[in-house]
Amino acid sequence: MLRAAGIFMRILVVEDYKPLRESIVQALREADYTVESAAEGRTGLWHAQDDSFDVIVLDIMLPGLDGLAVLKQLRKASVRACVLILTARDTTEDRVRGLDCGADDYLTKPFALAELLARVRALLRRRYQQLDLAITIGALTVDTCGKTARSGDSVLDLSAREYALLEYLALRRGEVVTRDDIWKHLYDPNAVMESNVVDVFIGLLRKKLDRHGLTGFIQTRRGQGYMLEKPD
Amino acid sequence: MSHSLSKRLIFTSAAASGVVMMLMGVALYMTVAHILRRQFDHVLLARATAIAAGVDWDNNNGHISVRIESDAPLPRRYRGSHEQGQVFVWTKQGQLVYQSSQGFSPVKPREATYPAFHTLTLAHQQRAREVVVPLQADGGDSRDGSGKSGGKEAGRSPPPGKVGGRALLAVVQSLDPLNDILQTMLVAVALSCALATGLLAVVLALIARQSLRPLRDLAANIGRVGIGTLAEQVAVPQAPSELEPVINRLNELLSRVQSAFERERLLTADVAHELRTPLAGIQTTLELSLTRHRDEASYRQTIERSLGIAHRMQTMIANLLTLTRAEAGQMRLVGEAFDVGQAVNDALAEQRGVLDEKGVTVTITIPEKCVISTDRTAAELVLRNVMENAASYVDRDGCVEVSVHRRGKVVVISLANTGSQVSAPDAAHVFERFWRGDMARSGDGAHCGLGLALVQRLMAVLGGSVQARSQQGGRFEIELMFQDLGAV
Repeated sequence: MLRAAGIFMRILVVEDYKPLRESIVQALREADYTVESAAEGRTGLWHAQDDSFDVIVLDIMLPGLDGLAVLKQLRKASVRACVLILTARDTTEDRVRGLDCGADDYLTKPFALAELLARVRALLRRRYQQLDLAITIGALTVDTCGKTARSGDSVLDLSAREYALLEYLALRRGEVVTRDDIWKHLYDPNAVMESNVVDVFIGLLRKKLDRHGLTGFIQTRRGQGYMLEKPD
Repeated sequence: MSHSLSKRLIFTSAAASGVVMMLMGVALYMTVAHILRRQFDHVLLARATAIAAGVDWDNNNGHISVRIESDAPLPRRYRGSHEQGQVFVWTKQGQLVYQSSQGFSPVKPREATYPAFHTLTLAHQQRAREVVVPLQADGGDSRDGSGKSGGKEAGRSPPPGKVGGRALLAVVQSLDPLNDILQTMLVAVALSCALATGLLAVVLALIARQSLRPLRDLAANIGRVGIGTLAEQVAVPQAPSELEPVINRLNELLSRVQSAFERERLLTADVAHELRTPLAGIQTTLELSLTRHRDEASYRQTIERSLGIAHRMQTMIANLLTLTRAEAGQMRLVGEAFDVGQAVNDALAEQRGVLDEKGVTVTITIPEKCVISTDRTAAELVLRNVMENAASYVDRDGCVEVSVHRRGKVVVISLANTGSQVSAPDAAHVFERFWRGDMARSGDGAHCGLGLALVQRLMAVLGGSVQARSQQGGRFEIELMFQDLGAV
């Protein structure tokens, strides 16, 4: 699963009711997600706009700017994060309106914490279009359940961090992943990014892949980032 | 028996008509009976007169005999088939000298004037009518030696004026034929009355049934009204004008019930909605706490947090109940001396922590002594709520101004805070239950939109009023006008 593997999935919680917000944040943190929170619509929107979050848990009744308005602006700004709407309103119209505004899922208060976590996991899978537990790119297979990578039948000998990097790139295969994204998802998001730590790890991972004959899987896009792709 | 209006109506009108018809029947009977009796007397007299004209005296040495030479029998309807009547003749001395049949003693005439009529009771309860007429010539004269006088002479000599001084003739005729006619008539009248009354009752019942049909339709239509169809008005086609007020009032009632239902439904939805968020808070907090083993401090924090949420829910429910009671007019007010200045200071003191934390500047203007008579509990609740509202919505480093003025028996409390999130046109909405147009709740979401609604209701109950003004991003002002309740 997409946690405890070194990849820190980033989740933003926008909820104005403090006790609930704090509990949700703590629960998500304990599930090894990187969590940030906001108590108001505007703050939430400001946080979400840099598009570094994978899932946004959004309350609808918010002071300042309500949840649906935040959602619309996020979608206008092409923020790709999956949005889970969290609200006390439970009529069909409310649910339809929320989903039509661009939400991916809907959870009515009160809810079971386990369900919230399960829905977040489901949204993370959707965010990375990962419906199977194993990702196969050419000869490379990344088993997100067993946390292993294989080349054909031989298992790659990777450190936890190298595996996490490979899984993150595999999840976003065919997509340019910036160094900043890698840093935020693999390292402490609050620490300042060290200039070439990401590049060094990419280099180490490349060498290990090369050793198993998986040459040219990680491509460098100068000035943009890296991309994992089956070589031509 | 159930109390039926139509049955009572039918019964009373039929009975009343029956009595009236019976009285009319009796009057008719008596009139006709009177006329018939007079006619009977008339023909009886005619017969007596005719017989009298043909009386022939025969004085045979003191033995007087009389012969009747002419007769005019009564019309058949008065005499029946066999009744011929009886004829009696008395002499001037009162001697009965003629009797048409034996075994019957007629009444001795004693009248002073003739013709005289009597009603007699004969044997076997048979009733008869007797007419007595004087004879113009009688056997009394012949005793004096006038011999055969004959009828011709009798016509010329006038009868003496005293009883016993004249010869008399009586004709007795049975009243049975007449009574038979009258009895038949009585039966006919009684039967007609009974029949007419019965017919009337039937007609009345039909009319009542027809007239009451709209009532039955109304009942059927009311029966069709359900909780979901309250908005549909009850209509009765061709309803009589008497029923219209009932239908109109009923529809008005239905409208009121429906809007009350709608309000209740909205309130229930709002309450459910407002309780869900804190409920979600408690549930998530507790579930989180159970996901793994934690240290004592963590459990303590969970308990404190849950307790805080429970308090919030309790406050909300208490506010809701007070609001409901105030709206239903179930609050009992006790007027007592209430120091407004002191109460304002107390209410403000409760919010001191929040205000200080936000760095708010508070300005208070209260006159020396400001005491009015009002209900302490309600007034304190009002002040607490407006202060809490101001403390929650005032911006950081903003200002809160409180001033109290006295205008005669009215005390005005003005409360203003900066940082209003409410636009000027929306200011009137702040008193609505659960109004969230502003969305400007404090960060901890501690408000549920009941405080100001409660304030407005309580002020109305206290006989005062409350107004709000607002400028978006500027001042939010609330003005409370407290009336002096007097010594209640």
